[in-house]
Amino acid sequence: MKLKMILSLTIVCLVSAFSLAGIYQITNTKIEKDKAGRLEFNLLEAMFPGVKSFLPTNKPGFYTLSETSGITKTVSLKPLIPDTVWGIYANDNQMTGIVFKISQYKFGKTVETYVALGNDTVIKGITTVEGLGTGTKSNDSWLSQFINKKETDILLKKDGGTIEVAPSTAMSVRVMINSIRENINTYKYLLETKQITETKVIETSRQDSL
Amino acid sequence: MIARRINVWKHFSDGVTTNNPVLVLMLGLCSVIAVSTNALSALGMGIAFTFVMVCSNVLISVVRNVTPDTIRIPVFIIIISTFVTITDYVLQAFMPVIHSQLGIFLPLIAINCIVFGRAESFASKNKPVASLFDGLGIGIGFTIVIFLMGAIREILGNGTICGKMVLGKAFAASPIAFMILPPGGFLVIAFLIGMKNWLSNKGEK
Repeated sequence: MKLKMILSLTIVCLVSAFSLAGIYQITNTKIEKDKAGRLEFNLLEAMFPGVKSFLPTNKPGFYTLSETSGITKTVSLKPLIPDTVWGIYANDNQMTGIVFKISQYKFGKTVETYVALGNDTVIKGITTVEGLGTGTKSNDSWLSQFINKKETDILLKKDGGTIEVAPSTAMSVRVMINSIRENINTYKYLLETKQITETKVIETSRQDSL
Repeated sequence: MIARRINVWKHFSDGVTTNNPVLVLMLGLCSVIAVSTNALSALGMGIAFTFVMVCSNVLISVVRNVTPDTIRIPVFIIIISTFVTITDYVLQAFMPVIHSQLGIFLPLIAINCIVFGRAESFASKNKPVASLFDGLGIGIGFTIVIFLMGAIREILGNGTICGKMVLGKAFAASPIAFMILPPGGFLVIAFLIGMKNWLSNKGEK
């Protein structure tokens, strides 16, 4: 009886493992490719919230933006800290600002928030990739309250700031706010100490120090 | 042969009507209310759920005679989780938008009491064909209800259906936002249960 139990469970587990390995082999390449594409889209969408479309050019890391008014321009993305901070540059290598990522791990999934800062350290845009199934519409309108805010304004209303609490419990607003403030302060410091300049592409040595 | 066909049809129709998992058995309501905020994600959830329901029902039925009774629960869990993970990977690769809208509720199908309940009460005691039709009936019954809920909540809460405006710009500018929040979900589910009971009573008379 015991042997039958062991055998049954082993066979079921093996079949399950092989099936999942097969499915993983088939889907993994596409999932990874989509993830990379989505990351770039999220970064650009955070920095240019009103833009109609972002099309990759032949040059890696360069994109053509089409605005609703019909104007098109080319920008480039460069990672400053891998997977955390990216610089956004206009075609003439002038820095437009940075986008940084905040991650919160909740309910077995990661909630990623991308915050775009202009060179004046004011928030230009913000997007959230929830993946928690709580819907995105309410979040979009909630996130819009961050736009054009300075670091000093980014506090919950009950703490004397201007930010209202989130409509869903998908993320901790206080953790998010603290991370945004911390990142803005770091960026301010780097600008003030000229470790980043507004008109220059960051050199390799400076990228390391950011 | 005819009796067998009638039996199979009964298994199917029971899942859609008299044993409807949402309106009659009232199981798995958490994910139903959470995901039915718009018609498209509700439909995605319904299809994913039906796939898991049918596949796990059939496989559990196939292995029922070789699985010792004492380890049936772990075997059910492994089979159901495998199909849920397959669905998760496939949706993530080929329908990333739907996958992101379903979020955590997609992996949670693995512990959905409807799937587990049918595995225990039906698939483990019946032949594969009957289990297939039972799974299909339950899955389609679930999909119809969750899609209806998603459509009603999206129309009233956003003024759109599958992202397309249906009630005009004026309504879309100030919709009944309450409908896409959880209380709206409870209200719609209560309305659908009431409708179903009313129709059943009318049919009996």
